[in-house]
Amino acid sequence: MPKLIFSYSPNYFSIEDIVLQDVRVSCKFEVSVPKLGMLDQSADDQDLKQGSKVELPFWMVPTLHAKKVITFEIPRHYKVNYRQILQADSIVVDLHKWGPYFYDLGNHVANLELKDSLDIKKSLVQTLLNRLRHIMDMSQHSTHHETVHLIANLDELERKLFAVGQLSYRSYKEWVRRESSKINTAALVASHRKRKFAEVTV
Amino acid sequence: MSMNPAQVEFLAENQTIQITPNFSHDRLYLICGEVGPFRPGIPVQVPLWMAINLKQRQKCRITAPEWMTVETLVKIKEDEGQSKTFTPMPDEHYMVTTQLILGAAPHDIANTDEIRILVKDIWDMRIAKLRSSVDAFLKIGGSLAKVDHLTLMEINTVRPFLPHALDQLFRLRQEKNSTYNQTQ
Repeated sequence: MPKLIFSYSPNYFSIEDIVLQDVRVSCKFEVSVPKLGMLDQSADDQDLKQGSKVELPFWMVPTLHAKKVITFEIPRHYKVNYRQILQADSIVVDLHKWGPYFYDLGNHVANLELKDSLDIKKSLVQTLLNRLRHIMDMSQHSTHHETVHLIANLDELERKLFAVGQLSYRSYKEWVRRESSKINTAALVASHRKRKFAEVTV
Repeated sequence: MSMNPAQVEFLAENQTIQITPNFSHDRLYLICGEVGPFRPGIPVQVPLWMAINLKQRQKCRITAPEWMTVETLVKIKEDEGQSKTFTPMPDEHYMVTTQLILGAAPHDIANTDEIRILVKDIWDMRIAKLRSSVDAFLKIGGSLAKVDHLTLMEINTVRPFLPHALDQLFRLRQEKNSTYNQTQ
Protein backbone atom coordinates (compact mmCIF):
# COMPACT_ATOMS: atom_id res chain seq x y z
CA MET A 1 0.00 0.00 0.00
CA PRO A 2 1.38 3.41 -0.90
CA LYS A 3 1.83 5.91 1.84
CA LEU A 4 -0.11 9.10 1.74
CA ILE A 5 1.85 12.26 1.87
CA PHE A 6 -0.49 15.08 2.61
CA SER A 7 0.55 18.64 2.87
CA TYR A 8 0.61 18.32 6.59
CA SER A 9 1.18 21.93 7.39
CA PRO A 10 3.40 23.12 8.87
CA ASN A 11 5.60 21.50 6.33
CA TYR A 12 8.19 23.77 4.82
CA PHE A 13 9.02 21.41 1.98
CA SER A 14 5.51 20.53 0.89
CA ILE A 15 5.19 21.53 -2.77
CA GLU A 16 1.44 21.49 -2.48
CA ASP A 17 1.56 23.84 0.43
CA ILE A 18 3.58 26.26 -1.68
CA VAL A 19 1.34 25.91 -4.72
CA LEU A 20 -1.90 26.36 -2.86
CA GLN A 21 -0.74 29.60 -1.29
CA ASP A 22 -0.16 31.13 -4.67
CA VAL A 23 -3.61 32.68 -5.00
CA ARG A 24 -4.23 36.37 -5.38
CA VAL A 25 -5.70 38.25 -2.50
CA SER A 26 -6.73 41.86 -2.73
CA CYS A 27 -4.97 43.85 -0.05
CA LYS A 28 -4.98 47.43 1.09
CA PHE A 29 -1.78 48.98 2.37
CA GLU A 30 -2.25 50.69 5.69
CA VAL A 31 1.11 52.43 5.64
CA SER A 32 2.99 53.96 2.77
CA VAL A 33 5.99 52.05 1.57
CA PRO A 34 8.90 53.84 -0.08
CA LYS A 35 10.22 52.58 -3.42
CA LEU A 36 7.47 50.03 -3.95
CA GLY A 37 5.32 52.09 -6.29
CA MET A 38 5.80 49.52 -9.04
CA LEU A 39 3.40 47.18 -7.23
CA ASP A 40 0.51 49.50 -7.95
CA GLN A 41 0.40 49.80 -11.72
CA SER A 42 -2.20 52.53 -11.76
CA ALA A 43 0.02 54.94 -9.85
CA ASP A 44 3.07 56.70 -11.26
CA ASP A 45 4.64 57.43 -7.95
CA GLN A 46 7.89 55.83 -6.83
CA ASP A 47 6.48 55.18 -3.39
CA LEU A 48 3.48 53.06 -2.56
CA LYS A 49 0.93 55.31 -0.89
CA GLN A 50 -1.10 54.46 2.14
CA GLY A 51 -4.49 53.15 1.13
CA SER A 52 -3.47 51.78 -2.28
CA LYS A 53 -5.11 48.52 -3.27
CA VAL A 54 -2.83 45.82 -4.58
CA GLU A 55 -3.27 42.15 -5.32
CA LEU A 56 -0.71 40.08 -3.50
CA PRO A 57 -0.09 36.33 -3.44
CA PHE A 58 -1.49 34.71 -0.34
CA TRP A 59 1.86 33.62 1.05
CA MET A 60 2.80 37.24 1.66
CA VAL A 61 -0.34 38.01 3.58
CA PRO A 62 0.34 36.36 6.97
CA THR A 63 3.58 38.22 7.57
CA LEU A 64 2.35 41.60 6.34
CA HIS A 65 -0.91 41.19 8.15
CA ALA A 66 0.80 40.33 11.41
CA LYS A 67 2.95 43.46 11.12
CA LYS A 68 -0.20 45.51 10.43
CA VAL A 69 1.12 46.67 7.07
CA ILE A 70 -1.95 45.55 5.16
CA THR A 71 -5.57 44.71 5.58
CA PHE A 72 -6.96 42.18 3.17
CA GLU A 73 -10.14 40.67 1.92
CA ILE A 74 -10.48 36.97 2.65
CA PRO A 75 -10.81 34.81 -0.50
CA ARG A 76 -14.49 34.85 -1.35
CA HIS A 77 -15.14 31.15 -0.91
CA TYR A 78 -14.53 31.45 2.78
CA LYS A 79 -16.93 34.33 3.28
CA VAL A 80 -20.12 33.99 5.22
CA ASN A 81 -22.49 33.56 2.26
CA TYR A 82 -20.38 30.72 0.89
CA ARG A 83 -20.25 29.16 4.33
CA GLN A 84 -24.02 29.23 4.32
CA ILE A 85 -24.07 27.33 1.06
CA LEU A 86 -21.88 24.67 2.62
CA GLN A 87 -24.11 24.55 5.63
CA ALA A 88 -27.21 24.06 3.50
CA ASP A 89 -25.89 21.13 1.51
CA SER A 90 -22.20 20.51 1.29
CA ILE A 91 -22.40 17.32 -0.76
CA VAL A 92 -23.54 18.92 -4.00
CA VAL A 93 -20.97 21.70 -3.93
CA ASP A 94 -18.19 21.51 -6.49
CA LEU A 95 -15.32 22.04 -4.08
CA HIS A 96 -12.74 21.56 -6.78
CA LYS A 97 -14.07 24.65 -8.48
CA TRP A 98 -14.01 26.56 -5.23
CA GLY A 99 -10.33 25.98 -5.03
CA PRO A 100 -8.49 22.77 -5.69
CA TYR A 101 -7.05 22.97 -2.20
CA PHE A 102 -10.14 24.22 -0.45
CA TYR A 103 -9.42 22.81 3.01
CA ASP A 104 -5.74 23.61 3.16
CA LEU A 105 -6.09 27.18 1.99
CA GLY A 106 -9.05 27.59 4.32
CA ASN A 107 -6.92 26.35 7.15
CA HIS A 108 -4.30 28.95 6.35
CA VAL A 109 -6.92 31.67 6.20
CA ALA A 110 -8.43 30.60 9.49
CA ASN A 111 -5.02 30.68 11.14
CA LEU A 112 -4.72 34.42 10.54
CA GLU A 113 -6.65 35.24 13.69
CA LEU A 114 -9.46 37.09 12.02
CA LYS A 115 -12.79 37.61 13.65
CA ASP A 116 -14.22 34.93 11.36
CA SER A 117 -11.45 32.45 12.07
CA LEU A 118 -13.41 30.22 14.38
CA ASP A 119 -16.41 30.09 12.06
CA ILE A 120 -14.26 29.28 9.05
CA LYS A 121 -12.59 26.50 10.96
CA LYS A 122 -15.90 25.06 12.10
CA SER A 123 -17.28 25.23 8.60
CA LEU A 124 -14.25 23.40 7.15
CA VAL A 125 -14.49 20.59 9.68
CA GLN A 126 -18.25 20.29 9.27
CA THR A 127 -17.98 20.24 5.49
CA LEU A 128 -15.43 17.47 5.49
CA LEU A 129 -17.47 15.50 8.02
CA ASN A 130 -20.60 15.78 5.90
CA ARG A 131 -18.86 14.78 2.73
CA LEU A 132 -16.85 11.87 4.14
CA ARG A 133 -19.65 9.33 4.04
CA HIS A 134 -20.31 10.11 0.41
CA ILE A 135 -16.63 9.86 -0.47
CA MET A 136 -16.27 6.59 1.39
CA ASP A 137 -19.28 5.05 -0.32
CA MET A 138 -18.21 6.22 -3.74
CA SER A 139 -14.71 4.92 -3.32
CA GLN A 140 -15.99 1.49 -2.39
CA HIS A 141 -18.63 1.18 -5.05
CA SER A 142 -17.06 2.37 -8.24
CA THR A 143 -15.00 0.78 -10.89
CA HIS A 144 -11.79 2.18 -12.22
CA HIS A 145 -13.20 3.96 -15.26
CA GLU A 146 -15.98 5.72 -13.38
CA THR A 147 -13.44 7.46 -11.21
CA VAL A 148 -12.75 10.52 -13.35
CA HIS A 149 -16.39 11.41 -13.38
CA LEU A 150 -16.90 10.79 -9.67
CA ILE A 151 -14.01 12.78 -8.31
CA ALA A 152 -14.78 15.81 -10.48
CA ASN A 153 -16.18 17.85 -7.62
CA LEU A 154 -13.82 16.72 -4.90
CA ASP A 155 -11.08 18.93 -3.58
CA GLU A 156 -7.50 17.60 -3.64
CA LEU A 157 -7.56 16.39 -0.06
CA GLU A 158 -10.79 14.52 -0.67
CA ARG A 159 -9.40 13.03 -3.86
CA LYS A 160 -6.54 11.55 -1.92
CA LEU A 161 -8.90 10.02 0.59
CA PHE A 162 -10.96 8.69 -2.30
CA ALA A 163 -7.87 7.11 -3.83
CA VAL A 164 -6.95 5.31 -0.61
CA GLY A 165 -10.47 4.05 -0.18
CA GLN A 166 -10.53 2.76 -3.70
CA LEU A 167 -7.18 1.10 -3.35
CA SER A 168 -8.20 -0.95 -0.34
CA TYR A 169 -11.45 -1.86 -2.04
CA ARG A 170 -9.64 -2.96 -5.15
CA SER A 171 -7.19 -5.09 -3.23
CA TYR A 172 -10.11 -6.76 -1.47
CA LYS A 173 -11.81 -7.45 -4.80
CA GLU A 174 -8.62 -8.91 -6.13
CA TRP A 175 -8.37 -11.16 -3.14
CA VAL A 176 -11.94 -12.38 -3.59
CA ARG A 177 -11.20 -13.24 -7.19
CA ARG A 178 -8.10 -15.10 -5.95
CA GLU A 179 -5.81 -12.89 -7.96
CA SER A 180 -3.73 -11.41 -5.19
CA SER A 181 -1.75 -14.62 -4.83
CA LYS A 182 -0.66 -14.53 -8.44
CA ILE A 183 2.73 -13.18 -9.20
CA ASN A 184 2.53 -10.14 -11.42
CA THR A 185 4.95 -7.98 -13.30
CA ALA A 186 5.94 -5.07 -11.14
CA ALA A 187 4.31 -1.84 -12.30
CA LEU A 188 7.73 -0.28 -12.72
CA VAL A 189 8.93 -3.00 -15.03
CA ALA A 190 5.73 -3.01 -17.05
CA SER A 191 5.84 0.72 -17.65
CA HIS A 192 9.54 0.75 -18.42
CA ARG A 193 9.98 1.55 -22.07
CA LYS A 194 12.15 -0.77 -23.99
CA ARG A 195 15.18 0.79 -25.50
CA LYS A 196 14.73 1.43 -29.14
CA PHE A 197 16.64 -0.70 -31.59
CA ALA A 198 18.35 2.36 -33.03
CA GLU A 199 19.67 3.40 -29.64
CA VAL A 200 21.23 0.01 -29.09
CA THR A 201 22.94 -0.25 -32.44
CA VAL A 202 24.32 3.27 -32.61
CA MET B 1 -0.79 1.17 8.05
CA SER B 2 -3.22 -1.35 6.78
CA MET B 3 -2.59 -4.87 5.73
CA ASN B 4 -3.61 -6.18 2.39
CA PRO B 5 -6.10 -9.04 2.22
CA ALA B 6 -3.39 -11.54 1.34
CA GLN B 7 -1.64 -10.78 4.61
CA VAL B 8 -4.88 -11.23 6.53
CA GLU B 9 -5.28 -14.54 4.75
CA PHE B 10 -1.80 -15.53 5.85
CA LEU B 11 -2.71 -14.94 9.49
CA ALA B 12 -5.94 -16.85 9.09
CA GLU B 13 -4.19 -19.84 7.60
CA ASN B 14 -2.75 -20.69 10.97
CA GLN B 15 -6.07 -21.87 12.35
CA THR B 16 -6.46 -25.58 12.72
CA ILE B 17 -8.97 -27.65 10.85
CA GLN B 18 -9.80 -31.33 10.74
CA ILE B 19 -8.77 -33.45 7.78
CA THR B 20 -8.87 -37.13 6.95
CA PRO B 21 -5.61 -38.08 5.26
CA ASN B 22 -5.26 -40.95 2.81
CA PHE B 23 -1.55 -41.48 3.41
CA SER B 24 0.69 -42.48 6.21
CA HIS B 25 3.34 -40.26 7.74
CA ASP B 26 5.07 -39.73 11.07
CA ARG B 27 4.54 -36.78 13.31
CA LEU B 28 5.76 -33.48 11.83
CA TYR B 29 7.55 -30.95 13.99
CA LEU B 30 6.78 -27.43 12.77
CA ILE B 31 7.44 -23.99 14.22
CA CYS B 32 3.74 -23.58 14.89
CA GLY B 33 3.53 -26.92 16.69
CA GLU B 34 3.44 -30.63 16.18
CA VAL B 35 1.19 -32.12 13.55
CA GLY B 36 0.21 -35.72 13.03
CA PRO B 37 0.93 -38.57 12.93
CA PHE B 38 -1.02 -39.19 9.75
CA ARG B 39 -2.79 -42.50 9.29
CA PRO B 40 -5.15 -43.19 6.38
CA GLY B 41 -8.76 -42.69 7.41
CA ILE B 42 -7.98 -41.31 10.87
CA PRO B 43 -9.07 -37.65 11.30
CA VAL B 44 -6.32 -35.28 12.42
CA GLN B 45 -6.08 -31.55 13.20
CA VAL B 46 -3.75 -29.54 10.96
CA PRO B 47 -3.25 -25.85 10.15
CA LEU B 48 -5.45 -24.56 7.38
CA TRP B 49 -2.56 -23.90 5.02
CA MET B 50 -1.46 -27.50 5.30
CA ALA B 51 -4.97 -28.76 4.75
CA ILE B 52 -5.27 -26.70 1.57
CA ASN B 53 -1.90 -27.87 0.34
CA LEU B 54 -2.64 -31.54 1.02
CA LYS B 55 -6.04 -31.19 -0.61
CA GLN B 56 -4.53 -29.70 -3.72
CA ARG B 57 -2.29 -32.75 -3.96
CA GLN B 58 -5.32 -34.95 -3.25
CA LYS B 59 -3.84 -36.36 -0.09
CA CYS B 60 -6.79 -35.71 2.20
CA ARG B 61 -10.42 -34.88 2.66
CA ILE B 62 -11.27 -31.69 4.54
CA THR B 63 -13.98 -31.82 7.20
CA ALA B 64 -15.98 -28.61 7.16
CA PRO B 65 -15.86 -26.57 10.38
CA GLU B 66 -18.95 -27.06 12.51
CA TRP B 67 -20.43 -23.71 11.61
CA MET B 68 -20.13 -24.22 7.89
CA THR B 69 -23.59 -25.63 7.39
CA VAL B 70 -26.63 -24.02 5.84
CA GLU B 71 -28.66 -24.17 9.08
CA THR B 72 -26.04 -22.47 11.23
CA LEU B 73 -25.36 -19.79 8.66
CA VAL B 74 -29.05 -19.04 8.19
CA LYS B 75 -29.32 -18.64 11.96
CA ILE B 76 -26.29 -16.32 12.03
CA LYS B 77 -27.68 -14.30 9.18
CA GLU B 78 -31.01 -13.86 10.98
CA ASP B 79 -29.29 -12.80 14.19
CA GLU B 80 -27.12 -10.36 12.31
CA GLY B 81 -30.15 -8.87 10.60
CA GLN B 82 -32.06 -8.40 13.82
CA SER B 83 -29.24 -7.04 15.93
CA LYS B 84 -28.22 -3.42 15.71
CA THR B 85 -24.71 -4.18 16.83
CA PHE B 86 -22.31 -6.74 15.47
CA THR B 87 -22.98 -10.31 16.51
CA PRO B 88 -20.11 -12.65 17.36
CA MET B 89 -18.94 -14.77 14.46
CA PRO B 90 -18.19 -18.47 14.90
CA ASP B 91 -14.76 -18.01 13.39
CA GLU B 92 -12.51 -15.02 13.65
CA HIS B 93 -11.64 -15.37 9.99
CA TYR B 94 -14.90 -16.71 8.67
CA MET B 95 -14.49 -14.99 5.32
CA VAL B 96 -10.99 -16.34 4.67
CA THR B 97 -11.84 -19.83 5.87
CA THR B 98 -14.88 -20.02 3.62
CA GLN B 99 -13.01 -18.62 0.69
CA LEU B 100 -10.09 -21.03 1.05
CA ILE B 101 -12.03 -24.20 1.82
CA LEU B 102 -14.68 -23.67 -0.81
CA GLY B 103 -12.00 -22.81 -3.32
CA ALA B 104 -9.83 -25.84 -2.67
CA ALA B 105 -12.32 -28.49 -1.64
CA PRO B 106 -15.77 -27.76 -3.07
CA HIS B 107 -16.61 -31.48 -3.19
CA ASP B 108 -15.89 -32.11 0.51
CA ILE B 109 -18.57 -29.67 1.61
CA ALA B 110 -22.31 -30.06 1.26
CA ASN B 111 -24.32 -27.23 -0.34
CA THR B 112 -21.29 -25.25 -1.49
CA ASP B 113 -23.22 -22.65 -3.42
CA GLU B 114 -25.71 -21.95 -0.66
CA ILE B 115 -22.92 -21.58 1.87
CA ARG B 116 -21.06 -19.24 -0.42
CA ILE B 117 -24.12 -17.05 -0.85
CA LEU B 118 -24.96 -17.06 2.86
CA VAL B 119 -21.46 -16.06 3.87
CA LYS B 120 -21.46 -13.32 1.26
CA ASP B 121 -24.81 -12.08 2.59
CA ILE B 122 -23.53 -12.01 6.15
CA TRP B 123 -20.41 -10.19 5.01
CA ASP B 124 -22.43 -7.60 3.08
CA MET B 125 -24.73 -6.97 6.02
CA ARG B 126 -21.83 -6.49 8.38
CA ILE B 127 -19.96 -4.20 6.01
CA ALA B 128 -23.07 -2.05 5.55
CA LYS B 129 -23.42 -1.89 9.32
CA LEU B 130 -19.77 -1.02 9.68
CA ARG B 131 -20.07 1.85 7.21
CA SER B 132 -23.10 3.37 8.83
CA SER B 133 -21.51 3.10 12.24
CA VAL B 134 -18.34 4.74 10.92
CA ASP B 135 -20.51 7.53 9.57
CA ALA B 136 -22.41 7.93 12.83
CA PHE B 137 -19.15 7.91 14.73
CA LEU B 138 -17.75 10.71 12.58
CA LYS B 139 -20.95 12.76 12.69
CA ILE B 140 -21.11 12.89 16.47
CA GLY B 141 -17.47 13.94 16.42
CA GLY B 142 -16.45 10.93 18.41
CA SER B 143 -12.86 10.17 19.11
CA LEU B 144 -13.28 6.81 20.76
CA ALA B 145 -15.38 3.87 19.66
CA LYS B 146 -15.66 0.40 20.99
CA VAL B 147 -16.66 -2.22 18.47
CA ASP B 148 -16.94 -5.83 19.45
CA HIS B 149 -16.91 -8.91 17.27
CA LEU B 150 -15.49 -7.34 14.14
CA THR B 151 -13.20 -9.66 12.25
CA LEU B 152 -9.81 -8.64 10.96
CA MET B 153 -10.83 -8.69 7.31
CA GLU B 154 -13.78 -6.43 8.05
CA ILE B 155 -11.70 -3.92 9.94
CA ASN B 156 -9.30 -3.97 7.08
CA THR B 157 -11.91 -2.68 4.62
CA VAL B 158 -12.18 0.69 6.36
CA ARG B 159 -8.45 1.01 6.62
CA PRO B 160 -6.59 3.12 5.70
CA PHE B 161 -9.50 5.40 4.74
CA LEU B 162 -10.82 5.97 8.23
CA PRO B 163 -7.49 6.68 9.96
CA HIS B 164 -6.54 9.08 7.18
CA ALA B 165 -9.87 10.85 7.33
CA LEU B 166 -9.55 11.21 11.09
CA ASP B 167 -6.02 12.53 10.67
CA GLN B 168 -7.24 15.22 8.33
CA LEU B 169 -10.12 16.18 10.60
CA PHE B 170 -7.74 16.43 13.49
CA ARG B 171 -5.46 18.64 11.45
CA LEU B 172 -8.30 20.98 10.51
CA ARG B 173 -9.53 21.10 14.08
CA GLN B 174 -6.22 22.06 15.59
CA GLU B 175 -6.38 25.51 17.10
CA LYS B 176 -3.41 27.03 15.40
CA ASN B 177 -0.37 25.50 13.88
CA SER B 178 3.07 26.88 14.05
CA THR B 179 3.65 27.69 10.36
CA TYR B 180 3.82 31.40 10.85
CA ASN B 181 5.71 31.33 14.08
CA GLN B 182 8.49 29.66 12.18
CA THR B 183 8.60 32.18 9.40
CA GLN B 184 8.41 35.30 11.48
